[in-house]
Amino acid sequence: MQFTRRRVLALLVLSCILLLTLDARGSSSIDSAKSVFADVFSPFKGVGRMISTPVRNAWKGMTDYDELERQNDILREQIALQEGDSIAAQAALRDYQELVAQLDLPSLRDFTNVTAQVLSYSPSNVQQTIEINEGESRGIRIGMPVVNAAGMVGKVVEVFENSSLVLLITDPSYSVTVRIVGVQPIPGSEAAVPTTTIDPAAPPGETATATTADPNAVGGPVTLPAGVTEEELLAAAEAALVPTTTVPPTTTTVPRSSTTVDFSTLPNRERGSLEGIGPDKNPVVRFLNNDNKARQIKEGDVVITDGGLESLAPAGLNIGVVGTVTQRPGTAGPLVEVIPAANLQQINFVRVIMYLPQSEAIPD
Amino acid sequence: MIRFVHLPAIRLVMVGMIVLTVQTTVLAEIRPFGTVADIMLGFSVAAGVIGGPEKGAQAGFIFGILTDLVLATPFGLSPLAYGLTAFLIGLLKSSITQGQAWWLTMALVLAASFAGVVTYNGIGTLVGEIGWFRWEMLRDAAVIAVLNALIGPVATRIQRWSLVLTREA
Repeated sequence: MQFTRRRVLALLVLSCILLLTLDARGSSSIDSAKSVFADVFSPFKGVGRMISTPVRNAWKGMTDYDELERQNDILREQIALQEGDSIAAQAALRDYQELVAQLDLPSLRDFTNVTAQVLSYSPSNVQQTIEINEGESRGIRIGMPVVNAAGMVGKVVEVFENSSLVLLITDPSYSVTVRIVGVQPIPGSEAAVPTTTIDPAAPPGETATATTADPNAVGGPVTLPAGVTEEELLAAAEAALVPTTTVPPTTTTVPRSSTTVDFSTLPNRERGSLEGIGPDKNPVVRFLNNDNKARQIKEGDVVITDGGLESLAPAGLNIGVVGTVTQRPGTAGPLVEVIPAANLQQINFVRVIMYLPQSEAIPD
Repeated sequence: MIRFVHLPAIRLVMVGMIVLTVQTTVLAEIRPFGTVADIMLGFSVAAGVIGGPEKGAQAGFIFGILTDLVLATPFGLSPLAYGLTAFLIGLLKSSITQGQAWWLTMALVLAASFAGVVTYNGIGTLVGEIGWFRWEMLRDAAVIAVLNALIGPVATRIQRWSLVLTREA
């Protein structure tokens, strides 16, 4: 009897270790098994979802009523704010599109995307994932970034024929390089950096030419002040393209006829690594370089993806805004909590951006 | 064909598919105290309580495999954690009593579920998963343990059928 028990235990442990090893080595047989099971299990889930809808709705009605009322009030307020913002944003977007087209710069519009519906949330406490109803048949591949109307949601980690699993940005195993773009001027920087005006009515040829001849020119060509690169201007404009929720309320005061870009509000930017730290917690940014600028990050600063060859996402995808900044002693640098623009608890539709990170590309 | 239905492994797969459907549709969205219930673990340990260590290990392995087929976690982690927990609770139960009182079943499922969550997160951390071993894990383990204890008497009845056990077994 004892021998049988030991044999069973040994068989169990060895089988599982074998499976773990195969999975760690990227065995295609496990991927195939998962893919086949996803197809077999799909009707079960469909029926289960249909039957359980009244149960889920009743539960949500009982537990979320107060929260829904509160959210409703907040949303009404946000709609009022965004109506004003959208007017200014449209003007800025038009200017931005002209610039990108004329300078032949890469843009988020270079990437096509696939819209998908969220089927379910993770049935596990240790991994924050969502299942979406589009997969390999629509060209989705592992590693592709996923966004919704508000901002970054996560990345694709498993692809089946007609569904995919998306790892949320709050998961501890998620990490992406980001830039934090200051929306508030650094004290004392106003005098050093000249204010520059972009005139959308200027002829295309002139607008496309960047000069530093006269920093005080009004209505002239695009003028880049010292320390601000074309790339930084592009990133700021890109950030405004994808989301609308993080446009600061002050932009509503921008006159419709002439968009003024005050570069003194842009110099505070820092690169870091955004990492999830678990469910019910906002992701944090750890800095690659703990220099003086990292200490000037403030609440409300915008966080966007940094891009680059090794990045998991193209540059300029909105992630959220800085929530709290915790200064740490020594060389550790500040710990920045990021409030995601996307509400990760309630996602209905997402877009998978057809951008395949180099790190996820399958070698020939 | 019908003879296959009497095999415990086939019955466990059939029950496992139904339980997994409930897990991925209803329980993934109903989150008491922010925790996703884990009835796949609950049914695994129920098999250990009712059927002993060998049967528990068998049920835990099958339920774990089914769970890992829908997760993006390392494959083999759930069968190891579920199987080990069900094996150990079966061993503990058979060494202390042969009784099958409902309160005893609930107590054993409660303890085993708590241990199972800790084991799962612990092994996950050992194989390189980041952020699994954290304080919130204890809250999750407690909620899962209580919920599994509540369904324990029903789960053991279902698992008795799955494992083709008689009342006296």
